[in-house]
Amino acid sequence: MLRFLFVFMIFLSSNCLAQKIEGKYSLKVNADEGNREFVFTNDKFSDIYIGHAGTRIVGGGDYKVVDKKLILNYRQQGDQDTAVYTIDKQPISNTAKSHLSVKILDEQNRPMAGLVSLVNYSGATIATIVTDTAGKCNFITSERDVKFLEINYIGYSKAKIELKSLAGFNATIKTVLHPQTTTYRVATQAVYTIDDLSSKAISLYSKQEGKLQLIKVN
Amino acid sequence: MKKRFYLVFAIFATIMVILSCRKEIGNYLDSEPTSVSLEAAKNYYALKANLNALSYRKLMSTGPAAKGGTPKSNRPFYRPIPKWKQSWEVNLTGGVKLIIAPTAEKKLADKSYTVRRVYIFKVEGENVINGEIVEFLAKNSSLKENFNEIASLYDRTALKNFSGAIMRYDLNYFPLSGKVFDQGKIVNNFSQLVNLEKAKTTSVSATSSGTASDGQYHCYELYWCYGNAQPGDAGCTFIGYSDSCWDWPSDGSGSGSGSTSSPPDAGGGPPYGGNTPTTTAPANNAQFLANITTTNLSPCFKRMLDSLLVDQAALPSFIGIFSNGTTPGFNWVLDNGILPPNTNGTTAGTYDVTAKSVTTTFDRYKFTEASDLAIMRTLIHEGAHAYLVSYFRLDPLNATKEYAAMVDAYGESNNQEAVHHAQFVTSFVNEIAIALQAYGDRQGYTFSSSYEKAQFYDDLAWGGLTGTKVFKDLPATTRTRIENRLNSEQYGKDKNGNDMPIKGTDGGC
Repeated sequence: MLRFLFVFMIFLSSNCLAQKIEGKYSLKVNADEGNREFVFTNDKFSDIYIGHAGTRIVGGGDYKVVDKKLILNYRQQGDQDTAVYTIDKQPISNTAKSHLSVKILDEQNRPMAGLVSLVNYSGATIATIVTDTAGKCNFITSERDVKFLEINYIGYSKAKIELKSLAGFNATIKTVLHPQTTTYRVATQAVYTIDDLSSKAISLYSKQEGKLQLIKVN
Repeated sequence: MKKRFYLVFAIFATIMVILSCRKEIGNYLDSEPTSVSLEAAKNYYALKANLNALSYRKLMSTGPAAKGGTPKSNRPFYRPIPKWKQSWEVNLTGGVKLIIAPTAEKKLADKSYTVRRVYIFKVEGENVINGEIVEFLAKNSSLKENFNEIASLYDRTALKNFSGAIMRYDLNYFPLSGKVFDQGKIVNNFSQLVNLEKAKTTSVSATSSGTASDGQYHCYELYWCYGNAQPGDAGCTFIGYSDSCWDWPSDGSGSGSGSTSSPPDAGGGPPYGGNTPTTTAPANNAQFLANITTTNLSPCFKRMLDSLLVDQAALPSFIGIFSNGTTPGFNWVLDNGILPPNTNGTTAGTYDVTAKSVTTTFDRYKFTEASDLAIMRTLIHEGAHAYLVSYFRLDPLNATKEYAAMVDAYGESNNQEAVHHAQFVTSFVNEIAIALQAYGDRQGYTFSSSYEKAQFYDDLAWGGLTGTKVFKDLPATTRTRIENRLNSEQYGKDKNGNDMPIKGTDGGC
């Protein structure tokens, strides 16, 4: 009997330690700093920011409260690379290189300038080409050095194209960029120390972000 | 006995080594700075002045403003050397001080001008919060007697009775701004000193300090230029020869003073904003304002815009924020709407090609307790967003060069607001402060000192930028002061909700 009581008490105490936060909270900020809201439901959370540039910054995933720490595990919420593209390609003899011609259009199929970045196998951008104002550029590159092409422009969506399929081809890449309406937070883990937790607010601290206060909205 | 000898010898040798080390350390310390602040300034310089001639050429080949600055010409790489041993401190209020280190300065043929070129490091506590190369050009006055007073206000927007220019550069000598003052007031936002290399064949044996070889005489002519103007353009004023060209008779003038053209007069020639091809012609500014659509804008915001129309002198400072004085080429649509909490305004992230416009929406309900200054600073802040959005669509080649760092950052984060705001911190905060002060001055707002005044408008310019990393890295006391000011102008309360009077007047929203 005593053994059972002991196990039961341990179960109760572990339940108390694994607290839950429920509801919608707004990050306390200065005037005109933008609105960032967290919603905690069961073991999931969302983190949405809307600021000056008309783009929502969206994150979310699962969370837990352990030993006075709030641990947010951000998961990938959506695909950042939403630009539409088509590729016309013809093989070229005697070369493994890619002869590329890029054309960029906006959401209404009007030519627009853009950026073509060459990304290597380490994920680093080794060169960025600015197209002409008609959205065109031509270049030759090699799969040996470049893993991806990233086609985008400030304020617009992005296309990410693996170069492997274009090795030894003469290719024309036609890309349609759309205005960026959502930016997804990258998958990562954020850990905050809970300084105070009440029914109305949560005070948090992290080395990266300093002191944060979440105010309960409803 | 032998052991004891070795022991004594070892102790002796150790003492000798220690003594010799002490001597070397002592010598080293003799040439080191005497204050912690100077040491911090040196470290800051070592960290930030990181460009060499090779990387400069690379930078220029891929875009001259990869750092986000606004270099105006293909100038050769050159960075003056700070003379640390001749540096001095100027104490400001609030525990802030400046470390000023002189550099090589050029003598001018035209005696009506004086030029001082120094490094200025702003230090708060033991932290250097900014470092720049600053050139002071005074017209018809000396910079000897009151230099500390002028230098201490190098980043301010009004200098009592000062006529001339203050040209600011980052620590790699990239131009940041070049404000032109007339009797203490800013009349233009960008000018710079330009060296034009001259190689002439002439007889110079009679000159006082020149040296000639085989009749070839290399020297520099020094011009004070507005905006992008280059020597020879109407936007430049010749002010003399530099260094070895001192007293070399100039073509045409034969005066020996080297002056070949009249110095600029207030309201007249360049760079004072007179009738030159590179200045902002009033018609263009009026056109820009005429292109601002305010159909749905709330009256309190419209009044702010109208106040700019009333005083034409205010226009250059307002427009200059966006484009270094050239008229922005977009139609700005200003709208009213309901926005999320803590959001005064929002600007579309893309340019509307069909309407040739960028739309900004303001939420007037956020301003029910706000002052006119809070409204004006929001207008200017969102205007800068609109400017960048339009610039990138209308002139992509130059925009991607001028804001190359921003382009790189967007590639990493896909977060337009964040990269815009980071650029504001680099390029626009000072300009926003200037425009706000110009507005405040016209409203007659007074302060106990010029420092307090400058600090107030500098603080206000951080509005909307308090989420940036640069802001969060500011010292806590500075952050709190700025946050209190921003919140008080917006809500009449400090950041903790305590009453705090607004400086401006009721915004009328």
